[in-house]
Amino acid sequence: MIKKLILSLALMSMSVHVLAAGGVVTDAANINLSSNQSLQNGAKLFVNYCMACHTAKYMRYGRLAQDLELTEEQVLAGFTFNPDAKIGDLMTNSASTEDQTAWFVNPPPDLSVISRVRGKDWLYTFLRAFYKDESRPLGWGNTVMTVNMPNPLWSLQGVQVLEKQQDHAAKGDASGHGPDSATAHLALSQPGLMSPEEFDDAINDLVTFLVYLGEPAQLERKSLGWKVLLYLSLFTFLAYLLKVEYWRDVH
Amino acid sequence: MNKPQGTISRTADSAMGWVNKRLPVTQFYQDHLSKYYAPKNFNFWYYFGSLAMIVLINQIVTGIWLTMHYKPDAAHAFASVEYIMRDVPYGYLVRYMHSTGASLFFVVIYLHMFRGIIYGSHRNPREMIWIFGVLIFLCLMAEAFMGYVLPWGQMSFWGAQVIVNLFGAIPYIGEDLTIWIRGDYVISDATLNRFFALHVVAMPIAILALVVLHLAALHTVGSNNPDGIDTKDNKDATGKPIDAIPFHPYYTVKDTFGIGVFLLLFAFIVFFAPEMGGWFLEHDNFVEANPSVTPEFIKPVWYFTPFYAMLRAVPDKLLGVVIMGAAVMILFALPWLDRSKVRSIRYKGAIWKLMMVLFVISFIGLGWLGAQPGSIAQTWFARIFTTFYFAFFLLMPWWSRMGSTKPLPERVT
Amino acid sequence: MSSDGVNSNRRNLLIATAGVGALGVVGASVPFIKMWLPSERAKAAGAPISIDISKLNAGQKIDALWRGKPVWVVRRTTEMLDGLDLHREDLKDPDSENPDQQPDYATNPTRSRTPEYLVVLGVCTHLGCSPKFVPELEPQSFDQEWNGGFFCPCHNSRFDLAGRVYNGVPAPTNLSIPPHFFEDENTIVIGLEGGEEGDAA
Repeated sequence: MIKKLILSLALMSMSVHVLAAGGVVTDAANINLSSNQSLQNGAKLFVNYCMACHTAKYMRYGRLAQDLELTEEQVLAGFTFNPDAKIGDLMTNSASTEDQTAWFVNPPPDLSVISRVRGKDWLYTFLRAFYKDESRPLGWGNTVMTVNMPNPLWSLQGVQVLEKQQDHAAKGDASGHGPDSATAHLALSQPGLMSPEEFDDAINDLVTFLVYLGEPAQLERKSLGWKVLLYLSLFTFLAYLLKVEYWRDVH
Repeated sequence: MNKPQGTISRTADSAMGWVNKRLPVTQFYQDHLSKYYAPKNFNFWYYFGSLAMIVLINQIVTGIWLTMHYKPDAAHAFASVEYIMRDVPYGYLVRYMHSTGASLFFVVIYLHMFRGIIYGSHRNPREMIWIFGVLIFLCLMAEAFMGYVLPWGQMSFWGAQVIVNLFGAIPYIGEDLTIWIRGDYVISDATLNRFFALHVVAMPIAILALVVLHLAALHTVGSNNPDGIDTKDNKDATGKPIDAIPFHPYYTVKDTFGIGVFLLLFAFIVFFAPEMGGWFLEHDNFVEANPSVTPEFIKPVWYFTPFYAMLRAVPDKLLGVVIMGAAVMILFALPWLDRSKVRSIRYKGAIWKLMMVLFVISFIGLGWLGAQPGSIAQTWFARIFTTFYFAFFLLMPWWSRMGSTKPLPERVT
Repeated sequence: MSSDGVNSNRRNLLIATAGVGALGVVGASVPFIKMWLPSERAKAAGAPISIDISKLNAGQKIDALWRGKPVWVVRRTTEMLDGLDLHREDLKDPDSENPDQQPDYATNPTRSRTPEYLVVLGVCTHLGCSPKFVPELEPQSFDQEWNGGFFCPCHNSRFDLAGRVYNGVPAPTNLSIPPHFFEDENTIVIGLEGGEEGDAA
């Protein structure tokens, strides 16, 4: 069963997200959780473009201030729309669930732990995979997942359309997307406020924030981890010397 | 031990005497530690017993602390776990210690059982130790299953749905039995509440009691060893076993080292890979339980996948459940199935070694297949492995006697 | 066996390993001890509160909850304030010398930022019951020379209208004054010191 152990470890390194994505080929997000600038920018995008409909109901503004190195005043002024919001409040929006159930068939899901469900690459791809599709109820389609939501970021991205397969084959792949990627057949028909590169960077920041949001403790967890491993190495080393010392008696 | 000198040690000595007259503490210490003789040739495989103990303690302590913040209520369970992860000081750490401990418990237990099989630790006179061990394994599976329901994510809910419905395969009473287990017509708040009670009170008590019996049986007959020969009766002139050493201090210091290495691995996972890429904490379990949406792909946590693969390999509901149950139950019979002349694999013939390798491949293969969606080819592989799993045990009375064995040594090597 | 082999090396290693191990146990217990501290939710619920005192008439009290405890704001009349001096010798700590029971700005004869408004935690310092407000300056069954104050029905502790405890009752100290400040003339904030002092304890 030592083989079993090795095999299981090998399997564990495989990404199970492929299954979660339902076979969609994703583009790779390149996130850096230690970049406060990236996190802050992502948080701004999240609050401005996601929280009109979605919530992060397990997250408190105070945690945002603490982890993103912002002052409480900065967070209350720049990250909430509610003048009565307190720093200890959860990141909910003003729309109640009852209202939303009336507005939408399925209320928009809470996004606190969405990154732990989908993974960073799926989110990075999904958020860049909206295209104009008048046949859909809200006028927007998505090549990653069929979903009843408009592209919240269209003003930044512009409007994409779905290209036919053969058109695409002739086109070079300038943006570095894989040939089978869910975003490979999308082309910009109307530019947005950002260039495609700027938009990809912005989405990358947003995904960085979502990954952080999934588990705010992960920053602290890793730094504590090194200390614990260092301590355990010392302890194990001493225990080893002690074992060798005692086992001199045993012949 | 040196004879105590000085007033303080004399006082301590007489205090110990006072206690010992009333409760034989010193006697107990000697019987189970300082004068409990264990074979001196324990190898790598013998760490897993004490490691299982460490993980058990970890699960109990972290479990108690999680209970202080968790809410066993379908309306609040999912949120209370996120509350622990975010709002409770160090809640995330204790939660990860508990979830990682659950998986590592099975790693340790599977390796511990494998050790027993290859060195013949289940054989006469140690059948009772093995039986208590299998009972612990059974309780642990129940404990892990019910614990997995508590975070009340999608996998918690649908995993519970599938597992509880297994009982529905029982003829005549099945349907009513599942309703009785759930306390409702679906997995619901009532189910969560009773699983919580069983997970935090009933099963831990049962497991602790079985561990005491497992150890009591072990200390009655003494440990086996990698050579599978008896070491108790081979004594020197002073009456001490030649090939055995007192458990304390020799194995306590050795196990301390083993625990250190284990804790390094444990801490690494807790701090740097608590999800283990979705194997220890499944991605879909971060979606709150929703009775109207089944996740695209349901699979149990890795430690149940070998048995789950067997269930899926059988194209009949009742038979599948029977096969899955039998795969665990057959372990009880192992001490009587193994008819080899020697205990340890070291002195067994090539057939035995080949069978063992094939068994390991089958078990790991089933574990891998159980975590896959299950294509037609995969189902056939699962059938082959399942057949071999049962052939290994059911035909053991015959194949375990085949082939030659090597002569046993007089002393441990 | 082992008694013969005891040497200094073995002893030193044993002490070192046991010492480092004990340190580890202490370190490992820190998260478990800290898990009992108030969570972020409890802290958010215990955030500072604002009390509107514009409708509070002289001689009246309003109640609020701060960190789950009753907080009282009493607007004292001149008569009440004058009465505070009449029973000095009957008090355990007339000059509020115990620094744990009030912030510095309330260490004065009226135990308040402004003489008129008393802000006090309505928790008896004996065993945590909430005393009754008995503002009338007239004889009571429990005190014939009552100058107004608070009476705890649990164990008959008595406090005056500055929350000072009387002699001969089980409560050991004066009622506690929480950190507070006047945001404007009609608003008292409980839980913050105000000004440059920043957060309260």
